[in-house]
Amino acid sequence: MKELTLDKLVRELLIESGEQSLHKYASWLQHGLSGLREFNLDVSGLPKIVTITVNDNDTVDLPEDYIAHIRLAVCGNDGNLHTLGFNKNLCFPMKRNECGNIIANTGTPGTGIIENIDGGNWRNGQNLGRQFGIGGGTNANGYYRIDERNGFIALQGYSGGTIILEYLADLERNSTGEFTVHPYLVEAIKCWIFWKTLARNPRIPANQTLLAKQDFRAASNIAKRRMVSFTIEEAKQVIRKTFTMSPKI
Amino acid sequence: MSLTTKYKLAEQAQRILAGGTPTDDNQISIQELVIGVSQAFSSVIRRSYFEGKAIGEPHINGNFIYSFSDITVDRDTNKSLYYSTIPATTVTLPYDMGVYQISRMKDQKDAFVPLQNGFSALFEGLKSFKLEGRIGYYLEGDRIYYENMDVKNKVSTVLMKLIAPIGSVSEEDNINIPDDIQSEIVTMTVQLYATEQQLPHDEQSDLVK
Repeated sequence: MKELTLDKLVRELLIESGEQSLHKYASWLQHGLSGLREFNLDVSGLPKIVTITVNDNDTVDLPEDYIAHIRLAVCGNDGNLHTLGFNKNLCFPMKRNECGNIIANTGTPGTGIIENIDGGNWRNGQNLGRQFGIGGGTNANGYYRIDERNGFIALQGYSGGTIILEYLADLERNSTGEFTVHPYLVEAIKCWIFWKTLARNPRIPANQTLLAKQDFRAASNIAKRRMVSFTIEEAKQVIRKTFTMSPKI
Repeated sequence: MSLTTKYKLAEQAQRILAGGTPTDDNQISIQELVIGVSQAFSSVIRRSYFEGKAIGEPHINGNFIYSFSDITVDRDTNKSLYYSTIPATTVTLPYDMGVYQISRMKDQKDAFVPLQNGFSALFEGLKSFKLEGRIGYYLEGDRIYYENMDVKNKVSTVLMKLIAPIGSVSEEDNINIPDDIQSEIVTMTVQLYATEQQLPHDEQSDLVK
């Protein structure tokens, strides 16, 4: 995809602002990066998908550029991702052995979820029924809980050697070592840089800063609308999902 | 277009100060006036920049930008940085704009990024520290230190463009100064030395003022 590099964006803005030289380049580059990071969080951030090896103690180390998780899954034989369930009751801090290393949580994922509410519907290995009203949300693939403070994901009832983590990552450079800006975001980032340079300057009148902020918001709204746009074909597919076969009478 | 020289401007200032053709008794020498002309020239450029800035058009006239070729890049082993010695004094402008541009000799398209002194400490650990692969520079005394220049991308000589490095121009070298600016320079020089002429002079060296 054709994307503009942040370097070119900053130089474009310098030209458009009537600057003759690169003397403001470094500070505007920093503003540009802040803007890009801001947009990455909730507008342009694309999920990053990595396959991570599960440690011996049933934990997975969080990647260094991790910001927030989207899903933790395993790739099934059907070619689809099957997500793990979130268990907020998974014990933290995790138990440690004599050496201080975390040991695997060998508890049963269902313990805190189903059996506490089953009201004794099993007796002597026989199902007595009476399961009406039991909640769903159980997961055959296993469960997880994320310890962001210590940088790992604890797994429970998961037996695979690797796991797929889909997450929102921090900004990263492209293959040539540059930061790129999505074409939809170019104007919004320029407005961001301009607004922030004014906002950080105490000599600039407040109304001028507010005007720049309004410009940024308008550009940002356009960018957001463009980012969430979808094609006619996609819309048709969603509409047709509700169509069902019925006999012609 | 006929170009001027520092000597011509100094001569004009001397004539005005002397009230006609200067004689040998003239107290202010032409050499001193040449220094005055250089200083006035820098002041005029600085003032014109801020006048332009006040109306939203900060602009440096191309006449005032001089390029210096093949400026050597050396290694400061104490600081582990590459540097060049600045070839002439410049004008004091915001963002150290007196040093207008530095680039490789034959690649002005990929000019180095001007930085403020203290860049390393401020930007250390930030994603912008790498300057998107560009080499940066900052001024320190009579030296220009380079950031992001290492063994791989080191250059041996650079092209340096300075604003009004008039000190490096000899008295008789042609310089391109617009007529209106010439007039301002002469006026400023005359004003500077006119004050001196009005003061009572100590004619005898007898330790009595």
